[in-house]
Amino acid sequence: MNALQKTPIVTYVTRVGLSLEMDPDVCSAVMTASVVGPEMVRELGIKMAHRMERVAAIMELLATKGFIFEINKQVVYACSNKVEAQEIKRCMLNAGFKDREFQVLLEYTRGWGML
Amino acid sequence: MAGVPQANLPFYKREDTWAMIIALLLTAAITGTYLFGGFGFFKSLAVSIPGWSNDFSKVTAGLNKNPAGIFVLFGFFLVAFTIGAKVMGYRVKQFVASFTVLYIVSIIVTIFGSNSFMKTYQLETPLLALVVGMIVGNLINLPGWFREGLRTEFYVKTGIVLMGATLPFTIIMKAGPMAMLQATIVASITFFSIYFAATKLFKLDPRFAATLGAGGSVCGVSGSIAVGGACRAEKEHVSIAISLVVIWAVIMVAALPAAALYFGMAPGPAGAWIGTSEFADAAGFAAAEQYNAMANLAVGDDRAVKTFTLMKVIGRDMFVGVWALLAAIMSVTLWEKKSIGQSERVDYGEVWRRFPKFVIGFFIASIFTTLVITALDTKTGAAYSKDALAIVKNLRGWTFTWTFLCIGLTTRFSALAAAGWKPFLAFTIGVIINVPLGYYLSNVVFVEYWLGVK
Repeated sequence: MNALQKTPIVTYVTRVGLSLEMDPDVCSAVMTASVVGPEMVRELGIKMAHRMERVAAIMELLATKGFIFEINKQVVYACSNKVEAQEIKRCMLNAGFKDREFQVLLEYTRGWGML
Repeated sequence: MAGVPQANLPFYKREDTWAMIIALLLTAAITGTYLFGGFGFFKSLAVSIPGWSNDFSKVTAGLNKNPAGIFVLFGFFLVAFTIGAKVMGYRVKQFVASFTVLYIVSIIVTIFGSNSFMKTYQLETPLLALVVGMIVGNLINLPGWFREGLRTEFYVKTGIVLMGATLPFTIIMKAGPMAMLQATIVASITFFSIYFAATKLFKLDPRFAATLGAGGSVCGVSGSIAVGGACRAEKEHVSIAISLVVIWAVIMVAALPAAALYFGMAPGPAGAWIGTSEFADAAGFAAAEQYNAMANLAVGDDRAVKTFTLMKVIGRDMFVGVWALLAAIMSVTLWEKKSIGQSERVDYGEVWRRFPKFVIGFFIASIFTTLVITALDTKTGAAYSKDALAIVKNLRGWTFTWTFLCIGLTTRFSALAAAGWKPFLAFTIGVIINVPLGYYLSNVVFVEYWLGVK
């Protein structure tokens, strides 16, 4: 088999997006349910801390799978070209994380020169 | 990390960007020199190989009319592509060596493709380039450095932007909506035929089925990659879908032009049919050019290529992001049995992220040359179309010849053989529906529109 024939048809990058911003649904629930004042802000702070803790926990799980991290505009991206998207999603759901806590992005790239 | 997707690269490192830069600057330079002086250089780029039978002196006589042309053409594109290649991070020395070989082979193939004996076997330059590439690529142990210059997508995108320069924007405005309508009808019916055949008849995974459907209906390899990524199909499944696209695309390069001629189709409807039923841009251009050559159309008669481009690029390629978004939504809701409120969030930026950016260059080129013609008086405008845009057409032809060679050289039958019969049959059901439907819409329902494209 020659060098050309060894090239895979596609390569991929799986990225898990973890927003460092408050979930808009949670944020609006707190803001509509509470009276505007210091307690509302404290509650938002608690929710925010909880969110950051969850993000950190997901990152720990992803790190064990060999993902590497980068950050862009308030979103941590965990990237891998070894673990497929559905596999890591199953893994996160099995670990108790919810769909709304992450966003799985998958990008395929055609092998060089492919039609 | 290896294999960074084009969409995630900075704009100046993308093939689309460099295809646009090269083609738009070339179009602007040809126009500028035509109007203000210095046109001789670009005129010398237009290398044409005359038709010949037993007398090779016709070829040498033809080349002697523009003796430096063959070298100027090579030098110009070598420099232009190499600048892009360097910025995009290709290995420059290998690219230069590889493009040099590719160029020499393209000259040889064009000479043989212009021979009347080859024409009797319908081995015109596009098909001949494809066949030669496939034979060489699959039988000869090609060196690793050679791969660097085999950039099918880079060459075809450059050619498509050049195509825009020769397609008046008024035609795009007039025929574009019809192309979108016809493409939407065919793409929807074909997509869901493949999808339901794959899931209901052959019990394949819905993500796999959607990836197959996109390959067979939306825009071939790019469709499979976009939809496969959006719905998180497995790598193996995307590879199979691409293999099937390539197999059918290569078959259609020969089959569609031959069938269009057999049915006596006029160039406009024939190009529209190819644009509807061929699976990939590069292969589609090969088929449209092959039709042109087989139909013995007058030099400069571009109707089939124009209607093909309208159908494929405007009707189909532009909407890949929309299909990807729909697949992403179905993936996290329908296939995971979750409501929108419970499901993972979908990135609506998908539509723009997956939009083929070279199409913007295609539009800019078309608008630019249309404005130039409009600004000139009738006589000068007609002369500009005849002389300056003829150069653009000629250069576009060369970029397509390199494309066709690259398709052949990079089509690996050993890698394509492992598709499996279930996906093959599901995809083939789509082909069986798509091809007659494309013919019916192009040659019966919308025939007047396609005949009207001049």
